[in-house]
Amino acid sequence: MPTLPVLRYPHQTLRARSLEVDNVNDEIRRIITDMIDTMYASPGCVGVAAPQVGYPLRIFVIDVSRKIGPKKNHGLLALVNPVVAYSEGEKITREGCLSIPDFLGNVKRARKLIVMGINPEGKEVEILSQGLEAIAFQHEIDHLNGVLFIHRISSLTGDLVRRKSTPKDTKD
Amino acid sequence: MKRYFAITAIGKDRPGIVSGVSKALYDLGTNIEDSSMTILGGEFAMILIVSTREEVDASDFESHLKELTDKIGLFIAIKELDESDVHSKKPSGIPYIISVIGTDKPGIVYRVSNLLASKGINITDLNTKVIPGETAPVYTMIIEVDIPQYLDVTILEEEFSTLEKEMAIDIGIKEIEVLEL
Ligand SMILES: [Zn+2]
Repeated sequence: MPTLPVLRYPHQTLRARSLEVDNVNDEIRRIITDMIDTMYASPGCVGVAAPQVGYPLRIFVIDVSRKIGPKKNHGLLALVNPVVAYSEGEKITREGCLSIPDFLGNVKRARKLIVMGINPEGKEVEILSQGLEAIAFQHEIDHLNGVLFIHRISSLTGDLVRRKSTPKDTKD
Repeated sequence: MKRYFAITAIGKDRPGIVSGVSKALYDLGTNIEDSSMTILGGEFAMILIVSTREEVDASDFESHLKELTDKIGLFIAIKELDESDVHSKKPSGIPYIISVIGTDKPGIVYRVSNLLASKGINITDLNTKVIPGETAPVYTMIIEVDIPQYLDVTILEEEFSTLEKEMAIDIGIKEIEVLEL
């Protein structure tokens, strides 16, 4: 179970637009497996995007069930070339990021969305997601566009806070 | 060895306070490590944490800022800090948000904060606002706290409900949900 080192801001790979994946082959599946191992090896972590672990490719993995249990989410998901097809509503969540370990930010994002993309088997999929899982989708898709949560907060005093405790696994 | 200072300044809000203070600090060769500024009731307040070379003293700040404080009537206080204070990581409790709402009356901040202090709970952020209500102004307060792991939150909730009745206010408490991504 190889885990990958996580790049930290201001590494330039985190600020670049990642590239589309042409072909979901064994090489891509190996990267996905390593990303999943890296996510599970990080306490409390429910999502990792490929550029965070040094691959400038449009891939992410998420597993919100790790935090909220099996309800209202799809569990472990890996998605290649994701596109948001529809979004609605607003929700503010306090987000942390492996690439910006010292801070948390209150970020406003859509509450519900439909994301299209390719799964690890190379099949096109369409996922309807809401709540914390939808937030996770948007955070990871931002990573693929070189955007970090600190770019989405409007106030440093209210919306950006120093981390006061280390992340923990809530559900495992 | 670097030295660290906390500088607080307060004065009637007007253009040029930030640039004036930061120029004086720049001239002194200090580095601004962290800062927070706000305006309340027309008063502008700032806290700056700065680092300096070994030989810079609190009196150097006073002399460099004197011209500015005289000119625009800024009150300034300077305090030297230990490096370990500047870089210390906070204790690892669980973050909660407490919201208080009720008709405006004296003692809300005191009674709530006193209860928290008696339990050893540290306030990490506090914001208050008075908003117009139907009959009287409504007071709202949002507090972020760090609750020690050993503390039973249900006991805190019980004491809050007693306080709610005594003061005719509503108090809500919930764990801050953090999504680690
Ligand atoms: Zn992230």
